[in-house]
Amino acid sequence: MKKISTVYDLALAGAVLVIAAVCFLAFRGGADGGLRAEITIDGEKYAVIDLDDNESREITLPTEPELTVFAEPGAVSVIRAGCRDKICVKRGRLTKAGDTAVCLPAKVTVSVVGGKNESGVDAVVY
Amino acid sequence: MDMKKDMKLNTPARRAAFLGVLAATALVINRLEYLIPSFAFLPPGAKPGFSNVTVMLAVALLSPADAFVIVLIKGVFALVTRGLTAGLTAFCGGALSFAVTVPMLRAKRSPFGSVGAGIVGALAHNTGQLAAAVMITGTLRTAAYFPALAVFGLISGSLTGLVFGHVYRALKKLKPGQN
Repeated sequence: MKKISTVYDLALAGAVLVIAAVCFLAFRGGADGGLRAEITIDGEKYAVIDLDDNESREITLPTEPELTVFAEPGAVSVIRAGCRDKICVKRGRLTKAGDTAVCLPAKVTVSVVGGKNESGVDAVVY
Repeated sequence: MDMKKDMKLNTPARRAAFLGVLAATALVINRLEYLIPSFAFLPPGAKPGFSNVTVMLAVALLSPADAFVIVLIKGVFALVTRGLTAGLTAFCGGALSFAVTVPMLRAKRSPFGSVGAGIVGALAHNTGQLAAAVMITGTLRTAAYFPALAVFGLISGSLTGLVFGHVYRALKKLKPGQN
């Protein structure tokens, strides 16, 4: 590697930014139905929570390590985690479609989908 | 003894010692990065990954096989200090990053500079880690981290490549066959 930086490096950076922007929009899209939080455990949908209603609730997941999800109007977050890193807790509040918190040791993902108020169901557990 | 002529990585002992220094440096960098607090919109747990500069230096001054030893050590370090899932993502990211970094650095006439090599290595690392995360959680949604990770990887990869380029220039004369 003779040179430190070339114009191709710059082009590469530009291409990466474009691809990142496209992926960002792809994950954001789909404001279909009410604002909901989807929780999956080990690849299977565990619960869907309506974030449009005015109730706040805590759900403790039957996982190892244990996670506690807190759903409030317009946002969802992981407030307690039994693992060492607590990366999912540090993720903070998830508010927009596409926002996702992941716990690898527990194999859990919590993500926000949707965005327009529609359905009248509060929570569905599979 | 003529010190100038003697300063080459031309014996197994010297190569092993240098590899050891690089590997130790990688672990120290990793440990220090872990102390950096996580930022708001970035995937928590995302770290700059500057330790890849040691892998790049190993590829450039030793051999790809030697560099892979560093990748393995980093993976084991993550496994032992942070757990199974951390170790898995570290191995996947490290292996993919290694696979793209070697051709980038050894190509006779590459249009990219060391910054480009750093970017490609960092992005490959992120992609490998994300792929492992998706497999662990079984959910494609996990890949939602990708855009933020890609931009972050772009910046940190550029810095890693930049540092590598300069350090390599300074250490180049250690390489047997180089002036």
